[in-house]
Amino acid sequence: MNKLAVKLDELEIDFELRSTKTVVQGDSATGKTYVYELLHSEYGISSLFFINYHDVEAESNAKMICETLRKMRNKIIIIDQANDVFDTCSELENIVDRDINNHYILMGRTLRIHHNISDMAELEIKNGKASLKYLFPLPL
Amino acid sequence: MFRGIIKEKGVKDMLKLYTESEIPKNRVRETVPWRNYFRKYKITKYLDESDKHIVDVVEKTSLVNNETIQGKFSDMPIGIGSLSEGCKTLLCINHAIKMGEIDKYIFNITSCGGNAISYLATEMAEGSDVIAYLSHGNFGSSLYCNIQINDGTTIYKDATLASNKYIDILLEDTDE
Repeated sequence: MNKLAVKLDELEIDFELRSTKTVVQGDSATGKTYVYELLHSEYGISSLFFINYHDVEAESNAKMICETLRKMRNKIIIIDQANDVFDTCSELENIVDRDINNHYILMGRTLRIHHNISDMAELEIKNGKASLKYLFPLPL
Repeated sequence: MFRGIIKEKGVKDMLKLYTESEIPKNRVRETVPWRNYFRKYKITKYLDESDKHIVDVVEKTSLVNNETIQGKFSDMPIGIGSLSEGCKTLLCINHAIKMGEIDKYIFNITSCGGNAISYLATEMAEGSDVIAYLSHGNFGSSLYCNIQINDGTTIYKDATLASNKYIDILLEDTDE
């Protein structure tokens, strides 16, 4: 099991990642984008890579991101607004779907990406700590 | 137990949902409303009590002024752009309702989680029909909404039943 653990001034983030695709869904306003932005702005570690809708709005930029992802290895890639990102760039969706070299944290709902139901989680922010609450247990 | 009701003449003002293949062609399709509509129509210029209520209930925080909200996690004022995409989508739909232009649009509400869709179905689709589409099936758990799917004859009062039906259609569409 992989882990994304980091202590920021505002929040301690402690995510257990069960496999290469973790889908974080749940109600609106539970803090998905908040966590994404916190990590993006403050966590200057090269093992993370970030993508959101703004990054793929321009076709040329989306193509560049696709090229970058194809070459990437052993990173944790966090995609916010994943539904809108994939609706805008289906090539990116295909790359993520097939990629087994990186870990993805996908903030989105009912994605077409192949994943196990045991990889579906909701974000929980409580007492200054953000963690993932998985909706289903790991298969035996 | 069947908690839907068959459409009658008097039943109006509901949340009308469509799956991808059934989306009406005669409407302006807002694919990413929280980004495009929100900016294009300068939503924050027109915020009123009904928008405040949306932010209170869905975002569970408060508007400080038209450009600022009380940060929910940071406990300090932050820009209104930090609202969740689901909440911003509802503000866009509310704007279209207030401008009397809701009949022009079909909104993508995929960004809305169950709590936002519940609010949309029970609070906003009351004075006017709201037309929308989405790619998931979490409509919350309200028992007091009016949801119609793909112009069907059943109007669902129970959001869970509506979402079950919607998921069935999504799965059928995927199989095809």
